[in-house]
Amino acid sequence: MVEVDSILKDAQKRGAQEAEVISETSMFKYVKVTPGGQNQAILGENTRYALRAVVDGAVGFAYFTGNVEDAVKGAISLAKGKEKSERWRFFISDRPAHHLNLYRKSVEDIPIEQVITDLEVTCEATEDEKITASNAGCQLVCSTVEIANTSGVHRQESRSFTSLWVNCRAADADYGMGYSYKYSLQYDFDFLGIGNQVKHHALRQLGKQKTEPGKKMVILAPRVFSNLLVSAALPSFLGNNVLRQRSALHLGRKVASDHLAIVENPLVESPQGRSFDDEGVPSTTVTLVDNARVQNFLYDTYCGETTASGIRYAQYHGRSLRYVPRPCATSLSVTGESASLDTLISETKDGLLVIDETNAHASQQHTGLFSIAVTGGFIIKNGEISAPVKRCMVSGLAFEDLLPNVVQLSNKRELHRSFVYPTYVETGHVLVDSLRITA
Amino acid sequence: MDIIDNAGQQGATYADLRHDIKKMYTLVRESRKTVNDGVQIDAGFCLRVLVDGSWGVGITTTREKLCTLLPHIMQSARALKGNDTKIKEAPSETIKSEKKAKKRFVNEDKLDFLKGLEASVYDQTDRISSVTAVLTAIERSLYIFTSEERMIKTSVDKISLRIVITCKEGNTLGSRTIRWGGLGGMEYLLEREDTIKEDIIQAAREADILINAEHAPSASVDCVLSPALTGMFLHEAFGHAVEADSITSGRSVLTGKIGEKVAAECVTVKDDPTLPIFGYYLYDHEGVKAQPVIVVKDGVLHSFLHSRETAALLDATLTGHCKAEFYSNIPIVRQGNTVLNPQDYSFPELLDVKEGLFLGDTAGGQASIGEGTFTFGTQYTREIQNGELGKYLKGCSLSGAVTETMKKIDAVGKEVQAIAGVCGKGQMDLQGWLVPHIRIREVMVGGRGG
Repeated sequence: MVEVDSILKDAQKRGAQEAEVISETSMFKYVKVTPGGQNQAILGENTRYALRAVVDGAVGFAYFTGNVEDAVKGAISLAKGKEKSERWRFFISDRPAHHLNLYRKSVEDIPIEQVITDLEVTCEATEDEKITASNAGCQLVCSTVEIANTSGVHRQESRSFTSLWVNCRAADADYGMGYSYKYSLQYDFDFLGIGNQVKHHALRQLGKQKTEPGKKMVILAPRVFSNLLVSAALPSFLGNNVLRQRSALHLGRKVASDHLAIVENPLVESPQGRSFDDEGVPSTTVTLVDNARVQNFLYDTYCGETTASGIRYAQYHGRSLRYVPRPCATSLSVTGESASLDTLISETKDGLLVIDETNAHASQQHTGLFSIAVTGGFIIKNGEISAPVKRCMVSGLAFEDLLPNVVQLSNKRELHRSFVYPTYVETGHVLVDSLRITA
Repeated sequence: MDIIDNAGQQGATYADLRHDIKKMYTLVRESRKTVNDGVQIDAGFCLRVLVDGSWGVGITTTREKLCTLLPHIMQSARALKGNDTKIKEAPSETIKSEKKAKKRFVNEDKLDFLKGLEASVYDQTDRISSVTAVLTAIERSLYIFTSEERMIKTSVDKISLRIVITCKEGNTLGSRTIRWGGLGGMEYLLEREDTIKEDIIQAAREADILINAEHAPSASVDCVLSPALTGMFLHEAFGHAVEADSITSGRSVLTGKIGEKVAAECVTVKDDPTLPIFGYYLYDHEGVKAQPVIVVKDGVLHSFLHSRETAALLDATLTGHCKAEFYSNIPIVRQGNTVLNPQDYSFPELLDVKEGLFLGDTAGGQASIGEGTFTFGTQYTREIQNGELGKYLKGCSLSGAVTETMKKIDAVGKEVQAIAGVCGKGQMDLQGWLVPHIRIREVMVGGRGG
């Protein structure tokens, strides 16, 4: 492994007036268990680097896993060949940061045999005569990120991360799917309970009935609401979209119901937490929506006054050093008037409870237009769940139909991670007054 | 290859080592300014061993670590007891295959090319708020060694260009995204510069129109799909369901349906990675030679797409459809290039519906293979009235049951287009579609309109 300071020095020696290096060293274990075959155990370790080199105001970027010298030369060469960036100012200088304890040493010591055994328990828990397929996977990662720049920043953060996913398929006269995704800093999943839960979800989806089209009250499960929030609404809050006029929002615009608040809060000791962003800027809390209105946008150092939201990511790839930093949220929290889920259901005369969807990721980022297929859910009649719902679609605009019509949230909250953006969302179920249903 | 021999000596019935080097050069311009000019070099090793019927996999960036990892990988595989995974073997041989760019990305002046395209866009309307151009060149070299004494060295260069055009008036936006991609380097785009410019000009006009366009309806309608959407539809609705890892795990609704009618008779679909379009490759990431596969013939399900493992499980021929995005991913079953055989209908003939919708470019999609359903989005739609294309409407989504919808295809166009596609499945993969327009009757369309 090469020290980041030596890469910085090399970049300066080769002509960079400023430079920034970030490295990530990680060790991981991953197990996938599929009853009946296709089981896998994966072990690995990676060391990755990314360099931004500035020559006469122009920035060159290189990401690499080895061959440091060629990578540094490449970044310098790219910078030299470029026109000066009018927005480039400087790499940030050092400033005090909160320290979050995001590392649980016990994760390092979990033997892979234990993970295999636990996943077998999960898969056994999904067994039922009507369950035709199930599988489960678990990932454990221990990593250390180090970032340094020529303005004096030098930070390091170690973190542990574990995740568990389970899915199963029930079949009778029709089909039902059950899923669960869990995230933690430590290895503390209820393997048996989650397996039972997923089986129950799948079986409850058998016997689907049609719903009527039209405008209805809709309760969106945490995973569904978080997918819509991230894919259809979040892009309009990102500073690069604001800067380039790809956002229809402005500060103060009314975009949500009065009681709804959406906050980017990475200062939590949880999987979604981080002490600093991917430019080394100490993390801070940013209120995006409060009192119905847009309060702030998310910026990195390039797009505006940084809100410590410079994240290295690409859509569908999650966070990765492969990419230059740009504005993104990593830890959204949605709060508002809340009650139990049973209360939300009882307040719904004629509507749907949507527990699973597809196609939120294809929402139009700049306009907020979404159209999702309900792949799991229930019809609600007169305040009670009546039957699982046959496939239908829910459509609307994020800032005209979805957020302004949020009536209530459930007080039991869940954490979900988007597969499009590197963003976690913590939210309850969300009751929306009126959304268009196609059936 | 010592590590392969060591794995065999320690009890592996099969082992392969993939040394994978992927270089991506990316140039990003936003609103006529270069915002990123970078290179990504992902280089590392993925070692797979099959021990007592289970897979163990080790991933590392350094060759020296492989020896340290091997005993742990073997132990992990043994801990997955009770499995009986087998693989189909390929013959012992040494192969070298290359498809390299004529014009290397780093040596070419890309800026003039992009500036020319940008100028074409800004000339169309003064409501352009943003134009983003992402130009990416990929140079991928793979060295695969297997315990069959098979050594494959393959290098393929590809290039892609994606342009996002946003128009704005007040608080309302309209947006269009278009992508081109193919084999080789800048020469691929330079040879098509005129066509690309025409496409961009059209997209800019459409983004402008979409600002004030009404919303698409929420209804069941007859639809004509653009080639990009046809490709997306076949890919999502069908392609994932015939990836044999879904079949063997029981998750696909097409499990056990070979020989059954799953589509209209006018539908013949094959997957051919050897076609020289965006999804091209000659050897997959298990070192298996890619084969053209007829997936559906005259509406009847014919074959699946296989990895070594699924081919063994289903006693099928190797098809070479197993790929990984980076060295740090294990290879999984993927589509290559999806081809829908053209039929007889001209575009005006396809539009011959009383009332319907033309569905424009793709906005992404997703399949629920266990349910046998699909959903995908469109960037825009157009009304069809009495056989004529009418006004533009905003985008919407299409959703349905796979086999039910495939049987409702009643017309297939005569002219194919090569489309550059991208697929996620936990790992992004570059894939090609060679497809015409199609018409589907009575499809559920979810727009925001009434």
